[in-house]
Amino acid sequence: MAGRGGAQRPNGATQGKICQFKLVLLGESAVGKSSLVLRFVKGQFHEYQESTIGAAFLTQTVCLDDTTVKFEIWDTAGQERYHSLAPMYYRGAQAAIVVYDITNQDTFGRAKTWVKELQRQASPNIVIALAGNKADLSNKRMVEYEEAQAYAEENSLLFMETSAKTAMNVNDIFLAIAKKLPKNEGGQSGQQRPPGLRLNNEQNQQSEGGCCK
Amino acid sequence: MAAEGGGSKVDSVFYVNNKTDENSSPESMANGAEAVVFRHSGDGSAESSTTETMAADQSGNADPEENETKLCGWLLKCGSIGFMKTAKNLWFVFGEDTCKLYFYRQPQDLLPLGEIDIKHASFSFDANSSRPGVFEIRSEGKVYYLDAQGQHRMTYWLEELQKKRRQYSQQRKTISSEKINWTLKNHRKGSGLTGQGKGLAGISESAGAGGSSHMGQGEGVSGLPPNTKPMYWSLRNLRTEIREAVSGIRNQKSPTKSSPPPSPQLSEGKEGWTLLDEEQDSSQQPSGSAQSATPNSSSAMSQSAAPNPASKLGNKLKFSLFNKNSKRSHSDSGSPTEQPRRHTHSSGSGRSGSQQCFKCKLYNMFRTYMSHQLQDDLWSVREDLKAAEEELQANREIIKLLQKELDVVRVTMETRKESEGKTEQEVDFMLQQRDKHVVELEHSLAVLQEDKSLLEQQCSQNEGEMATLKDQVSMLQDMLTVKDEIVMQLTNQIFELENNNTQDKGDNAGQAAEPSAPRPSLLIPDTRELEELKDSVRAYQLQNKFMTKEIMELNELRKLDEKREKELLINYANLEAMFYQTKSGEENKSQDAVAQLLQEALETEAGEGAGDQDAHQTFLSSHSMEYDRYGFQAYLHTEEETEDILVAKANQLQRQSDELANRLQSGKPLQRSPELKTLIRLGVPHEYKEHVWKGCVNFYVGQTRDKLGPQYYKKDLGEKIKQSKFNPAAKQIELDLLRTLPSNRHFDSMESDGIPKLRRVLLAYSLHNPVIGYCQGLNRLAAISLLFLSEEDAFWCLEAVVEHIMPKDYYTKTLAAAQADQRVLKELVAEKLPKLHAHFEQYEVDLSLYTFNWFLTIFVDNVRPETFLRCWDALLYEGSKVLFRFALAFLKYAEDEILTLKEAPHIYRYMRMLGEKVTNVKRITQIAFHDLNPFPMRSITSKRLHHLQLVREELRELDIIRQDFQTSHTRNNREGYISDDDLDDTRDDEDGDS
Repeated sequence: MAGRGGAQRPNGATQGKICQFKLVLLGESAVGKSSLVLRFVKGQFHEYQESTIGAAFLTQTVCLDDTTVKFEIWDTAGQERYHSLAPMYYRGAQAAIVVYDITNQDTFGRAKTWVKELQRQASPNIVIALAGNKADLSNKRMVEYEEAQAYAEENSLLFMETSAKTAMNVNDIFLAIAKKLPKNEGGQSGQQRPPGLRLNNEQNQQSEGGCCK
Repeated sequence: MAAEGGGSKVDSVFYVNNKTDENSSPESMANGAEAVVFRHSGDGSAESSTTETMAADQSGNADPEENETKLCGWLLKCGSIGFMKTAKNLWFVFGEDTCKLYFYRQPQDLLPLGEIDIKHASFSFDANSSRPGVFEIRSEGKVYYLDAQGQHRMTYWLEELQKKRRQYSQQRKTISSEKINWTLKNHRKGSGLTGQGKGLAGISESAGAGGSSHMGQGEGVSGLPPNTKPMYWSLRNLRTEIREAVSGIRNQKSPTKSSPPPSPQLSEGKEGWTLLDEEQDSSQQPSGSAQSATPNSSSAMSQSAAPNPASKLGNKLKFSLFNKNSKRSHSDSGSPTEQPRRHTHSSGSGRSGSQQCFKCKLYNMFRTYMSHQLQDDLWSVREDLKAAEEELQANREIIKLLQKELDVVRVTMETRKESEGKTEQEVDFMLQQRDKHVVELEHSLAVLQEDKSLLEQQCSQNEGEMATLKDQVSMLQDMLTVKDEIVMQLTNQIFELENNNTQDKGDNAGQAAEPSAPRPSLLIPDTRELEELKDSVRAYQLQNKFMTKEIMELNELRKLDEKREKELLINYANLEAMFYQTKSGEENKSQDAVAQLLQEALETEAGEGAGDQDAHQTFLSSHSMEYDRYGFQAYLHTEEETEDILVAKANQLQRQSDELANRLQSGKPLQRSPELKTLIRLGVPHEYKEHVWKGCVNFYVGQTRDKLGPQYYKKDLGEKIKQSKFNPAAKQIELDLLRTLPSNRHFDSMESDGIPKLRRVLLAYSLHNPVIGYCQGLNRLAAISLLFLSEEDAFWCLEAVVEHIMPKDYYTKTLAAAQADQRVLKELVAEKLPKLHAHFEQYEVDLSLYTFNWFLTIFVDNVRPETFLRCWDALLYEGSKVLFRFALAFLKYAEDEILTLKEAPHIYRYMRMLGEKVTNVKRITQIAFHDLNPFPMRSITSKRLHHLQLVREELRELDIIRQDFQTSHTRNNREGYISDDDLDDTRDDEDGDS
């Protein structure tokens, strides 16, 4: 189970326990989900990120004060057509980032739909973060920060405006989620977490950016 | 009295190692508990009369000092419980007179620590004891454990104790008779001077002392030095001397009476002994010693001699003797050792005897004479008395007789007087009465006689009966004897049989266990039968052994056969697999395909131009065929000839290939053929890709295309695109244009040549097939098509793939068919790669999360172009089954690596990289088209149908939930606004339901 353990990372960055969480990214197509993940995991940004078909799986580790949080990130396809596949991915997830494009009002609406669906159908204690991506394009802003923040507060969501391009708030939003996630075992709170997702002490070398970047 | 014994005792005691002990181990010598020691009492006295006898026997021949021994020595006395620990080393001395074993802490001790009565004791020892010297004495209800520390010593002790006990008991029985013997011996020997002298000396001494014996003893006690030896010894000495004195007196008798009458002799002996015992008692009592004074013997003696006329004389004698003794002991007190004292004593006594004691002698003689006289008188008086008594008795009897006669006479006299006094009548009456009485008597007599005869008869009868009974008894006895004999015989037989049985059993036990046959009762046939049975048993055993061996061998043979059968089965399976592979009609290797083509070419050539048989044969011979198809033996060419022929053939093939290529390029429609299939599976070369793909696409869409006319794409759809101001898919298409193949130079920017084409194709298709519209993934298909085909052909290719090659509903809103295909794939994995399937199951990895992308994009998703293009080639020609072939091939290709991963995230990560890791296209195609065979389309179709239904049901449920949610959501938040996706939804739903 995730959240269990206490083994040390080989690099000795932290002495605390290692928690493993499943995180899913949802949102309208082309709002920058994959870009956010790519920025967070690899520190890269492609202007034209290949559109995601189905879903993509990546992992990244975040260092908190005394805890190492390992994210298993499922980056889903945004097109409505893939909506039917979404439950496969958000089932058992402890955290979700619902992404919208601040330059596209529709994507914000779509984000709200996702939030509602998650609140209804995902794990009861799922930590949902709302990310207003493409914050670098604030001149084309269509969704006001206040509006989104109000909505987030209303639904008790974490909220940040991010930019995968400039890396603004990208790590922050993941860290905020990591902090908000319950680190004890009770954090699972009855979710049917697939037992196959077990803790591994090996450090995830996949991430070039490393943690705390 | 103990004073004179005091100093001498120590010296007189010397240790004599036992003979057996000397011969035993030196260790026992070194041992502190020094063996059995004999103490020689200097005065030669021995307590018991038996030892005394012995001493007396030897006195004439040897020095008595050396022969008179005392049983004493060191022994370990052990407690009865835990005696190993409480053992004490004590000095044991056997008291001859009391027949008791006394033990002291030290040999010098006055008082013993205790005593053991040997009289009634029993001895025993444990033969197996760890300590060989331990023996036990049971006496008076107590058990004493003594350790002689050595077996020899122990046996010596036991033997000696037994001897003492025996002697004592004998002594008690025969004491008086022995006494007689002893005196008689002395008489016969007449040895005497010393003895006589001694006795005289003793008497003279007593006479000389004059005083009372008690006084003398008192003196002895008073004169006792303070640190002298035990009184016990002194007392013994005293007693010994008394005895000597007595013996002296007795010896002295012999000359006076040469032949004394037997009865007086006996009485005299008794008296003498009585006197002695009395003396002992009297002497011991004042000394106050704790020693027992043999009360049994003394009392017995005194009793036997109790009412005696000479008792007074005896008393007198006793006193005198006592006086003498006390005197003697007093005089001996000064002597340093006992031995010298003895000498002096004996010599002294001899001298005094010759000089002084005539008076005594006379007195003594007179005394004895007087006693004899008196006894004789007594005897005669007794006889007279007896005679008188007899006379008296006779007289009395006479008187009795006379009195009886007198009585009879008196009675007759009275009757006469009565008869005289009575009348005749009375007499008559009386007579009558008497007659009557007589008659009665006679009658009764007769009756009695009858009775008697009857009784006699009865008696005779009884006798007869008795005789018969006797006969019967005898008969029965005979029978009994006979029966006894029979019993004896039978027992003998039984014994023999038993013997036989035991022997047989022994035999049987030696052999293997076989149920023993019941034994017949007769002996001789029994043995014979037994032998036979034994033989048969042996035979059976042999048979049994053989059979077991046989069974083992048969088992082995069976095992071998089974093994062979298994091998054959495996072979059969392999052959079957091969058969199916070959049956599916595909040649394994390119070589085969080429060979086939070559052969075909040659055959056609052979048909066209004659006289090319040589070449044909050469070709065949190159395949190492010995005979050609016509039955001719293979022609063997020289190398040069072969080369020439091969070169010629190559040229010819080149020509043919050019022709084929020309035919393709000339736009002739592609025709399905196994060769083409094989060739396509091997990968279509880049230059022919357009032609082959175009041809393949035409298989599917040729008719539609013809129907819609050549202007359909360019004109009709172009206009549609221009006209349609509101295309719900356009926005998404536009978003995806640059995200389709961002790494491909034809699609990496808005200025790239592929982008407008792609936009047009996708837009055209979304209008051409509004049910699907635009689905992410189609952009990739279109883009790949555009790489090799013209815009229009790409469009048709997309149409072919979406509408014809892929199952229905693959790209519709729910992607139901695509989802169903993932489940089919899962089943196939379970079938073809069971290990991997189990691995995925174990780590709960959902394979479909990855394979889904492969299927939707025909592997244009993190897969190398060479790989997915090979798949495209085959897919365009063969159909969607190729998707499963390649997916499984990918998994099989990476199976071993995946199996090493033990965590779901690792497996997912690996799966994401899998497409890029597959580099060996040849291997993948090999796996996809050969290793996975058989791969029947029918089963896949049925599976697809099955899973599609399931997926649809699930999706319907999900849709219902979502619909509710959506409607409420729209009503609340998005009033009046309808997104393109929403429109899509409605359309798709309609489509899905239809």
